[in-house]
Amino acid sequence: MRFKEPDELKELIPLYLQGRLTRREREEFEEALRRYPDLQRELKEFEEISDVLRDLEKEVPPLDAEWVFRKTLQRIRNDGVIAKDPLLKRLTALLRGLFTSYRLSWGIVAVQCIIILLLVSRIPQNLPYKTLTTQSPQVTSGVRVNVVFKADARVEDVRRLLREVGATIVWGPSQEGLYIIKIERSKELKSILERLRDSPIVEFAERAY
Amino acid sequence: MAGHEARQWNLLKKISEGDEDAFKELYESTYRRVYLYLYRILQDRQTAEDILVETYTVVWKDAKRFRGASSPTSWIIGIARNLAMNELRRRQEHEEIDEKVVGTTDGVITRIEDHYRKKVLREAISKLSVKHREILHLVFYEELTYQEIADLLNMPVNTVKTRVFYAKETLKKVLTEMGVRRDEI
Repeated sequence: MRFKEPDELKELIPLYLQGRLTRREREEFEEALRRYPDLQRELKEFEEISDVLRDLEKEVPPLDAEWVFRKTLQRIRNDGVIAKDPLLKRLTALLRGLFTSYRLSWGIVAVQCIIILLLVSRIPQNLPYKTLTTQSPQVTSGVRVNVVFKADARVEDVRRLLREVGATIVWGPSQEGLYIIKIERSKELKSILERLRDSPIVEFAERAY
Repeated sequence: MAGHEARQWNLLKKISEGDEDAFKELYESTYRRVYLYLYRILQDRQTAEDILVETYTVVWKDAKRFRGASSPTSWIIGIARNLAMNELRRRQEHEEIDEKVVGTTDGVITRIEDHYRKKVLREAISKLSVKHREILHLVFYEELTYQEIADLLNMPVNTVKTRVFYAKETLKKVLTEMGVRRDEI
């Protein structure tokens, strides 16, 4: 059996201290300890450094492990490494994949084009358009008068007044509340205008030209 | 493979599938060692905590990349080491990271009176370079084999042995500089 040299034996010190040597290696090492004072000193130094490092552990500031773990999870979530819910995580990954896909963008454009073409092709060629605008009132007889009724005028009072002066509404109201009324008794225009102007429900009355 | 190591393997597999409970269990079984390692080389609680958060963020992200070349704990310490070294570089402390080769001093520690000896040793260790503190921690505290340390630090086993030797010699030199005379030892 070949005995190890002191330098080789020194390399075994950590393994000896950790109890990782085989029984035979340990016996050889302990025999060498008796023969080599240098090896004894080296072993003592290892033991002391080891002791000091373990002592130093007591001086390491305590760690709030729970807080660090929560902070880690928060960091991971903020980094988008995980979603809170595994299902949400898969959904997020799917949506992220969809919205970063060029194919999807072109697909959306194609679908929009198809919808527009379908709508255009279904419009009837002779559609009778109806709008909210009217043509200018065509009054063939009588005289036209511009009238603005007061904001608080009641409908029945307006109707009664128009009946009294023999007038009918031919247009209105405009956004400003202007009506055009037709007066059949044109010869009485002056008196009718005075009657209208004197009415408490009329703001403004003037012949229209 | 030891039982707890097999358990950690299994936890890493679950973490790679997004299992937060497994992540918490792995954290609880390893954070203490990782924190001690970080504190030992960084010597600052706040920075050690910050790097710890970063370390476990990387563990979560890279769990699927774990191939088992080392034990799960060594793998995590390896991640912590890379991040800590980056932090030290960022702080432009690389001069301190560099290994300082010094001359040997004969047996210094052995006969210092017990209480005084430990106080002096503590102070001396804190004065070592990051690499020397690290190697002493891995050998004497983590009790990793030279081969495991070589894998962790990505260097040949002989370099590990040399570094351990110089770390001890530097420690002796620091002790001498601190006024620990040979006749006091």
